[in-house]
Amino acid sequence: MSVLKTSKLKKYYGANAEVKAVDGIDLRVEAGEFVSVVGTSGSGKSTLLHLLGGLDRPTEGTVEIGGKQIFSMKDEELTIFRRRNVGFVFQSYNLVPILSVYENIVLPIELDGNRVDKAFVNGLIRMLGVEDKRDAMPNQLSGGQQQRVAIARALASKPAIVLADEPTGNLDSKNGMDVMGLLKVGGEKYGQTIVLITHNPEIAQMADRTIRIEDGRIKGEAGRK
Amino acid sequence: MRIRNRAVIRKITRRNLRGNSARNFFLFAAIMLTTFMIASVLSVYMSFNGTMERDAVRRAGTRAHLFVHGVTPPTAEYMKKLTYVEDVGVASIAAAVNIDDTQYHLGYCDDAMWERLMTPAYSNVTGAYPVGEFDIMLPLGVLKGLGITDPAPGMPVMLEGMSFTLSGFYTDYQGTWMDYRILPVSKTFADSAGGGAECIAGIAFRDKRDIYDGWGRLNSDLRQYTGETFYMSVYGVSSVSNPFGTAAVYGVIIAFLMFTGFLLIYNVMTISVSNDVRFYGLLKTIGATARQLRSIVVGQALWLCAAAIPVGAGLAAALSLAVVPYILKSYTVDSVTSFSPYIYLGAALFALITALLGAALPAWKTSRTSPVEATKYTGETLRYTKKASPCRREADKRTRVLFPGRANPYRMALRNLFRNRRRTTVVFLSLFLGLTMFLTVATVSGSLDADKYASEMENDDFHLRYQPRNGAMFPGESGLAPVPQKFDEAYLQRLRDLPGFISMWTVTEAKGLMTYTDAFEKHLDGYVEYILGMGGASGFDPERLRESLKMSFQANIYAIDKGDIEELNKRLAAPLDAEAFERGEFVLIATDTPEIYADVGEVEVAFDGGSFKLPVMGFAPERFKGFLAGNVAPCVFTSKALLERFAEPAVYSIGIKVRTQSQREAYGILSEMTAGDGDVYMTSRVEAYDEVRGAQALFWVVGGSISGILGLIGVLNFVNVLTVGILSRRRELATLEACGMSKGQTRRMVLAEGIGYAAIALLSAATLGNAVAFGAYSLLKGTQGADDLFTFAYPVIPVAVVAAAILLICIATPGLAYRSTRRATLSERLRAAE
Ligand SMILES: Nc1ncnc2c1ncn2[C@@H]1O[C@H](COP(=O)(O)OP(=O)(O)O)[C@@H](O)[C@H]1O
Ligand SMILES: [Mg+2]
Repeated sequence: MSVLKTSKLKKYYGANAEVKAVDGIDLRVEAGEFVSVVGTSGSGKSTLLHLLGGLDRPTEGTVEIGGKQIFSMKDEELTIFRRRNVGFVFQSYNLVPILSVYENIVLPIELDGNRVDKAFVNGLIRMLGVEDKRDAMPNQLSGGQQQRVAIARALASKPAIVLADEPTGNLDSKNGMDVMGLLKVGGEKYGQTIVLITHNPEIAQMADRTIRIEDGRIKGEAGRK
Repeated sequence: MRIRNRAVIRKITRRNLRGNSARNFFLFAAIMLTTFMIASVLSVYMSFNGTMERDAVRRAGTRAHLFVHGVTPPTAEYMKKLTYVEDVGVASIAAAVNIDDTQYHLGYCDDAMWERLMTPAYSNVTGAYPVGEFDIMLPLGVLKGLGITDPAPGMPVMLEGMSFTLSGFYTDYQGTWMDYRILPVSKTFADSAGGGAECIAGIAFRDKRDIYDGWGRLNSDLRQYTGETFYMSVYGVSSVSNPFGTAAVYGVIIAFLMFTGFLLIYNVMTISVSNDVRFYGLLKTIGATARQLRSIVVGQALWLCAAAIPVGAGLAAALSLAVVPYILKSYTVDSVTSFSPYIYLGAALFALITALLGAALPAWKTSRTSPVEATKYTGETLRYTKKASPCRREADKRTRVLFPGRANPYRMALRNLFRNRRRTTVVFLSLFLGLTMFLTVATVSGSLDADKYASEMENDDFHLRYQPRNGAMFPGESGLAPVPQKFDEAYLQRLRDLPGFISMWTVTEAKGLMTYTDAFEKHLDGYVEYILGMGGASGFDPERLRESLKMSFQANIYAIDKGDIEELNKRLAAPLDAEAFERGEFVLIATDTPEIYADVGEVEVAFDGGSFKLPVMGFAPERFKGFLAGNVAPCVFTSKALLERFAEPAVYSIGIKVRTQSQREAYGILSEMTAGDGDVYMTSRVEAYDEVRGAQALFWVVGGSISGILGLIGVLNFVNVLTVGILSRRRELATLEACGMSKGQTRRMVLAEGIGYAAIALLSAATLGNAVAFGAYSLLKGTQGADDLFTFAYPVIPVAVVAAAILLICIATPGLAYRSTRRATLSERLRAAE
């Protein structure tokens, strides 16, 4: 069953739609699948990812998550839907500077007003190797540590889908591979679906399936299946 | 080595300036308002002093502080060389003429005398100084007396049978008391009068604060130089000192304005610089030196100064045309509005210093940031580790109880409030200063009680007093000549005919010579001190002065009615026997310090027509029947019948009661009766009331505008912090939303921050600010003579309005700023910051 499905997804920019950032993408992602997206800079990867997660609304087309049309929801509804079902990891870690590591991680759970599953979160923290930084503030962490925290945050609310936009872009290759490993292991462990954008072929290969995007269109797929 | 990189630094400065229009607005406003207020304050100061000085000179009839009579040219030359003398002008008096019962002197004034010492006291000077032998210049008043209402230079005029040609005319303001009212004639005319001409030198001292001191020095210097004593007449008055004239008060106000201006500039600069820290860090990585970074920051402030200072100064100049005359209205009809370049140079300088100080600190900090730090910069963090301060942990815990177990917007708002403690402090301080100033102004002016003042100051609705202007200043000058009867029966009848007349009392006066006894020693001490304190008497030997005063222990004896004693009895613990007083069996001493007369059992007073020796049975307050003029000996109250037995008393003062609805009308009639009569002094409840009302309005205008500007600066600071705080957290807010924080939650968070700021500012204003306002009020009320002016009244309505306005701003600003960030989509906001 496809957990994520797009149909004729388009996103145009400019008064006369001169920038076709996403230009008719039909994509299906199965539950528990790990998909990587590659493409040159400016090909529309980030735009696609934002659309998948409901951070932006498309010019045309639909996105379905778990059978729900996300763009038929109102803003507020979409926000709540997103915090329950989608976790994001960005290239620049985007931690909230006034919150400690732990607080950043549990933020989506608390925003939803749910009890924090302490055992689960602690497991995450241990798995990501940031136990000793639990109470540190983001600016006291290295880039790799910050990104791990960001991943923990994305996984903490046990979302069905994790969307990651070049999560290793700012890290050296060792750290990059580590973080990737964690993302993949986490995804497998909790049965999450992962869509990941990357420039790194080595990392792209770790996915079940790699999608190549050019000029806003899918230009090829390669799977390990 | 000097590298030519000025151009690139200037380019970066300008680019950075252009990219920060919101910040520029705040800086522009801060610099402009600072300049504007300082220029306005300086303008009021200069105009006020200018007006006061001009009026003092006009009243004196000359800018000279004193005239030395009978000088010779060498003496005049000698005086010119004295260091403490600023100007010496010489007039040769050729002849005296009588016009309308007033004596004038035809005299030739040299340039210094005419240009520098006489004309400043005149206005409308038209025509030229007399040159031809029978040319003359006359004041318009004299011309009117001669029947000429429409004078023109070249006109023939006749003075005591001599015919002159009018070369010019002017308006003079001098009182009746100048010995010499000089009418300017030509040198030829004065010379032809021959050796009979008396030379008078007009002297202006350098130190205008204490001309009695100059007088004393000149006296002794001249005595030493010529061996003789000159007759000197003093006209000028020492410079006025009052709250509107003291430089210190203005200094404090300016310092206050500079400080608030500084707070805003400093804060805006710091915020903008820390938002641009990546940019500066990058510049540093590329190779910009610390000094270059500093000059980029300071340079932006300078550019803004160049734009804002002229605007502020221009506004102040425009406004001073309207406001200065209004402020000085209660002092004079035609005020001098000063446009001295010093006002604007001074304001520009102060504003520039403020801006530079405000920019210097952020510039210095920028130049010290490490490039690594700068590129790692993730926005301001809370230094919040395991060792969080107990106070913050407590606060955290409390909010957690309020909103348990949630990453709720309020807890985050609380954190954000403490995110940058210095910034928060500056905003509070800035808002607090404005609010406190406002509270003080509102409390003080709201507590000014015109009705209370009017009724406390004046027991009667109107009060007339005969006080000849050329009354004796020093003992021995006027002797004991009988006081002329100014308020004769006809005069009193006119008063009884006033509209709404209810009742009237009179106090009569005669001058006598009291016999000095040692019981008066303390009294004499005080009097000697008073005389010596006048400075002009610095040549006196205190001991000799004492002896001569004992010999001529002159007393002003005032007579009152039986009814007055009965009135006084209401205030006394042991009532006096009004009948016995009326029969002339005892007297009272008029004093507010009865202790120093404790040993005076009886007084003996001699008049031309006999003397009395009577016991002193008590004391009456000095102002019991209005102001009493003192003399060498203490003032004594007797009954009217008693005084009439020994002297020819004249009415000294009159108190009149008039029905309420007729007050203004009666005031109009009395003002007309007493106008132009320099010897009758009138006070009234109406005037006292208007005076307080005027002061109140003035206080509101001046204080209100200062606190308004301070408040505005505070609010600007606040608005800037909130707006920038939200705009610069765009990405952070977007991240929160990406993590699932809803629009409503985010809005609640930023609103809570705004309300938090407002709450702290309003709370501190409500406690500390009110305390300061009440302190200022008590201080003012406590100053001598001010007690009657005030009844405490809390300015409820103005305070409520301001509090509501602050709250509204605090709620509206974050809401609007947040709304403006929402214009971009979440996706765009997440990107924008990368
Ligand atoms: N808000 C926007 N307005 C206009 N053009 C945009 C906007 N966002 C992205 N683009 C354009 O859309 C295209 C795709 O961008 P993006 O999805 O970021 O590419 P990628 O992530 O693959 O590098 C680019 O040409 C980019 O310039
Ligand atoms: Mg991208």
